[in-house]
Amino acid sequence: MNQRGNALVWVILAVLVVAGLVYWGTQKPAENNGVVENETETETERVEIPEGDLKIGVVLPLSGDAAVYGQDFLPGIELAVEEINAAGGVDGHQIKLVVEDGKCNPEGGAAAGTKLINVDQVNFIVGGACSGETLGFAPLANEAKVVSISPSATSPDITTAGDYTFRTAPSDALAGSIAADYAYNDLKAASAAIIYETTDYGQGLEKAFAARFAELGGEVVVDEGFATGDVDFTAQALKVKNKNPEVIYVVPNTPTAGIQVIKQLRANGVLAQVLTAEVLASDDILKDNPVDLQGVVAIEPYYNQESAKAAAFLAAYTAKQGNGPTFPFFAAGGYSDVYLLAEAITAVGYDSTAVARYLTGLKNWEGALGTISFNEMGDVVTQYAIKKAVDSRYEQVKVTP
Amino acid sequence: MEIYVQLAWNILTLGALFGLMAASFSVIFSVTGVVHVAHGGVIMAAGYIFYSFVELGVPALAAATAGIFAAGTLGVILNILVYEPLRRRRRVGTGMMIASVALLIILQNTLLAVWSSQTRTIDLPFLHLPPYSVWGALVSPLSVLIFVTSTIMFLGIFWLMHKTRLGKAMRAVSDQEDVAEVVGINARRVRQITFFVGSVVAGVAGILAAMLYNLDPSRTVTYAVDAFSYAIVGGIGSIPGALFGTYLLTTLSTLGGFYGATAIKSVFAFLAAFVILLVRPEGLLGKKRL
Repeated sequence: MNQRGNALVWVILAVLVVAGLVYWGTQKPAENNGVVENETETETERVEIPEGDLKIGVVLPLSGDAAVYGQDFLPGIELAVEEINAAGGVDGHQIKLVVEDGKCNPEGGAAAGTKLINVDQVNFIVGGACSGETLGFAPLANEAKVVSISPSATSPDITTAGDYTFRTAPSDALAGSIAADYAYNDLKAASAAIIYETTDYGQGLEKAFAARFAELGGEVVVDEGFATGDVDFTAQALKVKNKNPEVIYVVPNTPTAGIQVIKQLRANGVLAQVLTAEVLASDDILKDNPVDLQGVVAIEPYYNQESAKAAAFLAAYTAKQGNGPTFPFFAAGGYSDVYLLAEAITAVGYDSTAVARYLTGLKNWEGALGTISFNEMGDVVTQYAIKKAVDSRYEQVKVTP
Repeated sequence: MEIYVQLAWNILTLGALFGLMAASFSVIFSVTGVVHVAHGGVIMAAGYIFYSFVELGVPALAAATAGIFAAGTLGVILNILVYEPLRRRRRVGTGMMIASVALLIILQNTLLAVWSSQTRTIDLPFLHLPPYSVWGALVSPLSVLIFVTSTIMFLGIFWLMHKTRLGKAMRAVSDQEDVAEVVGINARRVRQITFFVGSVVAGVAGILAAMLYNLDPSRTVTYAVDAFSYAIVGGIGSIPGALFGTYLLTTLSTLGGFYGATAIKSVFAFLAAFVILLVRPEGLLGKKRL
C-alpha cells in the first residue's frame, strides 16, 4: 500500500474511534444529583429517592463459559424494569439499570461491585449469577450498606455473607444432601463418585453431598475436581471407571463443562447413573445433547410454573426474546428480584438499611417464582424437583416436601 | 489392564489433536515471527462454521471443507489487516503480541455475539456409532479419525516444509528474511501463504476439536494458551518439537490427573514446562537463535 492509502486507513480508523467514544459517552448514565446518605438518618425517617432516575446495579457474567447465565437472566431483569417504568416507575422515578460483567469469579465480582458502589453509587444490586462473583462483592456491598439480591447464587457461604446480601435461590447445603438422599434411598446406591468444578458453587455441593452420603452409610469412592476451563476429562472418567461406583454426582458450574464430563464418562464406557444439579436441568440443553444426557437425573429448585405471575412472566419473556429462558427458575428469580427491590423501596424509601430490614423475614410474597419467603438469614425457602431426562425433555420424578 | 490401554489411547488422541494445534501455531511463528495467539479464535471459527453448515443439512465433508477454508481465509485477513501494517511500522515482537491478544479477545466476543454462549454440539450419525473394543479399551470412530487425520496432516506439513520449493522459501524466510529477499524470494507473499497454510491446519484441528469437545466461545482462550505453551516447550519454530512438546505435557497432565488429583492436573504440565524452559529456553527441539 502506498503512503496515501496508509493515511486514508488511519483517518478512517481515527473517525471510527472518535465515533465509538462519542457513542460510549452518550451511553453513560446521567450523573446522580442526589447525595446518598446512609449513616445519618434515624430509624423512623423515610429517605426519598434522589432526583432523577432510580439506579439499580446489575452484576452478571457476560463473558466466558458462564455468559450463558448473563444472556439468559438479563432479558428477565430488563423486562421487569420495562414493566415497572411503563406503570409509572418507583414513586415516580424511572428505574435505570447499570450492568457490569462479574465474570462468574470473585475477582470479576469484586471489580464489578467496586464500580457500581463507588462510581455509580448505587444503593441496590441485582446479582450476581454465580456464587463466586456474589461472594466477590458481598464484603464491599455490606460495608457500603448496599442491598443485593441474587437470582441464582446457591453456595452455602452466601447465607452468612452479610445482612445486606439476599437471594431468591436456595442454599446448596440442602440441594447436595437431597441429591445424596435420592442416591442412597431411591436409587439404592451404596457407592458414589463425585466430579465437581473447583468453584464456590461446585465445592459447596460436593461437600454437602459427600457429608450426607457418608452419614447415610454410603461410600464416596471417587471425589475429583476439575478447574474452570478444562476441556479434557478422560483422567476423571478413567478414575471413575476403575472404582465402578453405582452413581456419579456431576457438579459443573456451567452447562458446557457438565455436558463434556458426561460425554467423556460415556465415551470411556462408564454407564452408571448420573445425578447432577440444576445447571444441566434444562430442556434446551437436553434437546441439543439427547444422546449424552439420556437418563440423567437432575435436582433443581422447584416452583409452580403454572401460578398466574409465573406463567405471565414466562409468556412475556418468550414474547420478548422469541424463546423461553434456558433456566426458568433463575430467570424468573432475576425478574422477581427487581420487583422485590421496587416494592421494598416503595414501602420504606431509598434507605438501604430499611430495605434490608423490609426484605428480611418477608413472608408469602407473590411473584414470578410463585409464593416465596425469606428466612432471617436472607435465604429463600423453597422445595426441590427431581427430574429425569427422557427423550428430549426432563420429566418430573418427584418434588421434595 | 484395559484401563491402561484406555489411558494410552486417550493420551494418543489428545496429543494428536493438540499437537495439530501446536504445529499450526509453530508453522506461523517460525516463518513470520508472529506470536499469533489469536490462532485460538481461528481454530474455534472453523468449528463454528462447520457446526452451522452441519445444522443446515450440508454433508459433513462439505461442511468441514467450508470450515477449513474459512479458517485459512481468516488467517490471511488477520495478517493483511493487522500484522503486515505493524511490520511496515517495524512494530515486531511485543507490539505484535499485544495486537494478537487484542485480536483473540475480539474474535472470542465475535463468536459470542454470533453463536451466543450456549454450548453447541455437532450432531452427526458418525459420532453415535458404537466404539470398537481393542484389548478391552473403547476406541471410538471419532478418536480414530482424529488420530489418522492428525498423522496425515503432520506428514503433509513435513513434506511441504522439506520437499517443496515453497517449503524451501518458507524456511529461508524463517532463517533470514533479508537474505531471502536478496535471492529473490518475495517474503511478504511467503508470509501470506504461511498464514493460509497454518490457519488451514488450525481449521482441521478446530473441526476435530468441535466434534470431541463441543463448542463454547471460551474455548478460544483455552486452545490459544495450550497451542502456545506446547509449541514453546517443544521448541520454538520446530514442527516435530511442537508434536513432542504436546505429547510430553498432555501425558504428564493426564497421568498427573489419573494418579494424583484431577483438579490440578494442568499444574503438573506447567510445572514441567517451567523446568524445561529454565534449562532449555529455546525449547526441547528448538534451535538457538542468534
